[in-house]
Amino acid sequence: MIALDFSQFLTFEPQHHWRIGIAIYLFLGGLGASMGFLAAMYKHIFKKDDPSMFGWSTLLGVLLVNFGGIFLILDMFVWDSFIHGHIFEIFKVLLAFFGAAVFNGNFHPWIQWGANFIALFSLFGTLWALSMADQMAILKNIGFLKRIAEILKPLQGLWGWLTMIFGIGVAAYTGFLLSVAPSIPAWSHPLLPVLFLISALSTATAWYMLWTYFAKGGDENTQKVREHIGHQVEWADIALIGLELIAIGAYFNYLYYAYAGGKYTFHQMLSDTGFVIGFLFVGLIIPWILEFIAAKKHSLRVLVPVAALLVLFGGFLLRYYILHYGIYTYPWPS
Amino acid sequence: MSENKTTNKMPNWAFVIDLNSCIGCNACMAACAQENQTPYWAEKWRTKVEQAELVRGDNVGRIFFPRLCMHCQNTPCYYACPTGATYKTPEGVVMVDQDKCIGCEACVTACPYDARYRYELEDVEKNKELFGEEFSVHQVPHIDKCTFCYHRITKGLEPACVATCPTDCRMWGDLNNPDDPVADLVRSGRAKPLAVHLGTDPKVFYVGLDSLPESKPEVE
Repeated sequence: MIALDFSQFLTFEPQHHWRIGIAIYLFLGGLGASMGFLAAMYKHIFKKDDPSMFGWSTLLGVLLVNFGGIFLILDMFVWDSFIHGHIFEIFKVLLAFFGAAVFNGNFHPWIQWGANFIALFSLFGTLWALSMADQMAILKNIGFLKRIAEILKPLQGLWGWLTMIFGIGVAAYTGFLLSVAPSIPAWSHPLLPVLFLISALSTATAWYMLWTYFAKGGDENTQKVREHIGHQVEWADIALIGLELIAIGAYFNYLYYAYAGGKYTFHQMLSDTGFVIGFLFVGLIIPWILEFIAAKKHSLRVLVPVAALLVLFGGFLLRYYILHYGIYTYPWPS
Repeated sequence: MSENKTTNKMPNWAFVIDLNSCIGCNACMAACAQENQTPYWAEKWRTKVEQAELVRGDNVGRIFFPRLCMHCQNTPCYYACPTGATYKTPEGVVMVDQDKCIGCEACVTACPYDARYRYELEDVEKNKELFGEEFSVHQVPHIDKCTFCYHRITKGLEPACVATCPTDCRMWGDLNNPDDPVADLVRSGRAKPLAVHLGTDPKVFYVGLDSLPESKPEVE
């Protein structure tokens, strides 16, 4: 007998099931949910009040999360079946997403948890934003919305806390969604949910940097609060990007030392100029430097929106490349 | 996790594949495709025989590696399926309910053994054309996979690939039956599962994972 260890034979094969649609979903899901989370956190924990910014950002966040959900459905859904007469397919999708745990006792699927988190974030985020409708630009002029705000206001704190809980749930879930693929090292990575959460919060702070930079309406007090928040989110984003860089370092460290498939993925990702230049430099390190300069030198505040746009770009690229480098490690020769 | 474990009262079906005996004839693939109406025309298989060339100096050889769904006891595809389409029979066989499957491919990405594929609408139509509307077992698009030929084993027959293998490299048995040679191979440690480190607890075991007969050259 000649020793021939089959464990030497591994097949590395890129996944082609989840594509750019899922990357858009993960990006918009994380961004939108974190926009709602940060708004509610500012109001109910830090006791800052800017109803127009918080309310509109949360409504937009809910819209983005659900808009991203369309990309998920488009990517996953068996459209050809639907078109060819299985008209109940869409109801099957919706019922199944929300009901599987109830009907078959399987509480594991993250898609299902995510669908429920998204639904609850959308519900409570909308209720919370509408509870401020009587103080929000544009909406305060619509009569029936003012009445709705009056009805919702007594429980505003509850809506806010629920927005925070389910917002953070949605943002973290985007990482857990990918974590159930044990033979894809880039996805089943223990740090991925944390990395996606940090990135989601960073993109949301980028949104508030854009708002506080460009939106100049409102009274003097609102402007003061907005400027204060603007300054805080800039520093918060500097901290978040720093944290993200450490998380990415730890992510690659684990990939490299964990096992063969991880090492292969490590080399593939870091030899991709799109990932290194596009994401690491343009989407992460450059905006980090720009934000730091803008925070220190008031005359260079024009760098704030530039950095914010780059952070948003980087947030999308992170998800795109993590999906793209979903490489299976199969235990057989090829 | 009670939903994911088999009981001792039921048969605990398992496969043993002897890598020393596989000659790469692909009869198993043909038998499976015919029995289960899998879309061979689109190169989609429930079971497949991988081939690799081995070179040592002037010596060149081929090795064959049959694979199929491992019917894991800790089942990543079951954990990923959001609709309950993936389920386990009381004997621990992992199945897909076509009517519940939405084709999201979460199970495909979760499977560490590449055992699942998408049965597309065009595959359904082609299948109906070949086998007839009435006899087609694939009525709607869904994710498809090996069922250990559940429709056969529940009638006391062997899975199609086992029944057809000319070298008997595929063996089929009940791990709960102490007299079963398959159970004996597994118990003795001669037959080993793939990718143990993933903790999936597969029910397909291989003989010869760490050694092959002398006639096959060593990898360089």
